[in-house]
Amino acid sequence: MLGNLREGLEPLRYSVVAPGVYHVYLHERDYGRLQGIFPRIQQEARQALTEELQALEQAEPGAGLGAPMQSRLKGRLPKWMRGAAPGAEARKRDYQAPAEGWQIAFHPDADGELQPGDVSVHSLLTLPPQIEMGEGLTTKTVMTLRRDGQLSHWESYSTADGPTPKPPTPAPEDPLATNRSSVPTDKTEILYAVIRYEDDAGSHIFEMAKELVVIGRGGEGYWVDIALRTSARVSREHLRLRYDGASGKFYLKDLSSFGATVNGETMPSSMQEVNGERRDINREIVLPLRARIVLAGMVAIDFEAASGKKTQ
Amino acid sequence: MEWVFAGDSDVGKVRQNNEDAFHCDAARGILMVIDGMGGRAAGEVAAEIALRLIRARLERRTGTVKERIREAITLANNEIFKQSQTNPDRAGMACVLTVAVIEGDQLTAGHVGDTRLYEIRARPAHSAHSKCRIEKVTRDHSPVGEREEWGRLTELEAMRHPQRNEVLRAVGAAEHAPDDDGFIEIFERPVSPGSAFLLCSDGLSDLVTSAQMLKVIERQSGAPQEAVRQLIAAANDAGGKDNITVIYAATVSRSRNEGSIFHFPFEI
Repeated sequence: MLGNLREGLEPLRYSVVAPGVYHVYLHERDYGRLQGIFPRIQQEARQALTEELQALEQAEPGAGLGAPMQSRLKGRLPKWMRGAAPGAEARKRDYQAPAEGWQIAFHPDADGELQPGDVSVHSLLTLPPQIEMGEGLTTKTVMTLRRDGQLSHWESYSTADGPTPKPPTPAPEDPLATNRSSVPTDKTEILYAVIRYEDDAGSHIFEMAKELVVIGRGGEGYWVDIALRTSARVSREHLRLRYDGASGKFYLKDLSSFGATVNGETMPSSMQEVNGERRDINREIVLPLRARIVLAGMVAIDFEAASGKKTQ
Repeated sequence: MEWVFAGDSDVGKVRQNNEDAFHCDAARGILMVIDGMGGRAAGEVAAEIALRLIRARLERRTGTVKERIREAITLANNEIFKQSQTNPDRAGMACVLTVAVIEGDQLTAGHVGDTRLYEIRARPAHSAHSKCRIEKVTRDHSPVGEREEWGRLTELEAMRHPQRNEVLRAVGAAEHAPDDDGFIEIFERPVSPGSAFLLCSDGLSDLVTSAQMLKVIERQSGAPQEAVRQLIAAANDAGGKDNITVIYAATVSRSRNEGSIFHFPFEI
């Protein structure tokens, strides 16, 4: 992961942006064996990433763009950015930790490409939006594979619209804009997952920063964390999604009248008639770390586990 | 397990209106005591909103009992807060409450403020002491209650303390989410044949010691309605300076002969 951090740094003129999202793939056997200590690994990895970034910042020579960046961007930069700008010599750039905190997720290798002991790390750098001029977000991906102690890296760029690789086209940051501080604040909370959905009110992104999320249309006497504005086929309390700290897994429970599917499969209902009363029999399914959940065929929710810390 | 519930509320001897509310639902195992706060009639409004929304959520049995209780109190909290912000007549209204749900062999209580939940249990048969003991389950969210909890004040000193009516937490004082720290405190107690519980507003516990409560309960073991009536009378005899609300819940055990009903913890 530290290798991905170094390889994935995106040097800008006044700051260097670090990749914030790390997907770690392990052989299924290793995944099962290490599952219990993922939170610990995440915690230590976050600390290591923060320390490494600080070390890199301190080692910064204080010149303008570094040599590798100069050669890569030659000819594509405005003239004033090509060399070190006057006065830039003494200025150290701000190494920016991701504003959302380091997000680290572990996955079992579903494709069978990894051998036991192999570790494959995919990191994502979501570049600040102003870098792309009206073209959607650019993501820089670094993949590291550690096999038999040997590391290999790949780098690719993609936009949110599609996987077409394209070279970076950084635009100058506003020189008048103040540098955002990369120092994390004390008040942090855990970001468990990111949930994206679209309803009659538009598209939304919900950051799951608590262990339990209730999803439905809501109404008097109904607590919901995600209040959907949609057809009455979606129940007022449709789904309960929870993260279980002990197992590190996400669980989903269907309490609705018209059901839900997860990645195309109908999930079992947790509601059952007991002595003439509809009751929750506490039937849950384990939710994959990435899932598309469709409620009553009306609303699609994209769930993605994203372990990390969110600074407030 | 079969339960018998009894509850009542009284305006007391000093106040003009009763801002307490209570609800017992033996079929669903729901018990709650609410003490409203706020000028004019606002305290009654706050207690009424809390009762309505908490019932609505608890009577729908989805989620775990703890989730239900947390969500129910939060729904009440946010509605009271919203109305206190938008309606000048209701500015500053709030309430304190204790809500208990008995399901299977467990009682789960959600608590905010200085209403109380007590547990009453039988002592072993050979004990030289009185037949039962009483234990305060909830901790008051109040400056005086905390000092009493830490052993810095005795029960009697706490009852006579001038700051007695200050609370540190209330339902409706600020917006909340169900699992916010420093908001709802949850207590769980296993129940078995022989369990009995008492919920009350501070109109009782400020004027009647737990030892006095226990005496009444022991005397009226077979008649929960009468126990509740006598507890309220004891508070009124001691001055009745606030509204008094009491709920008593006890498991029912049928004796081997004649099928007559006794209310444990007094007869086995």
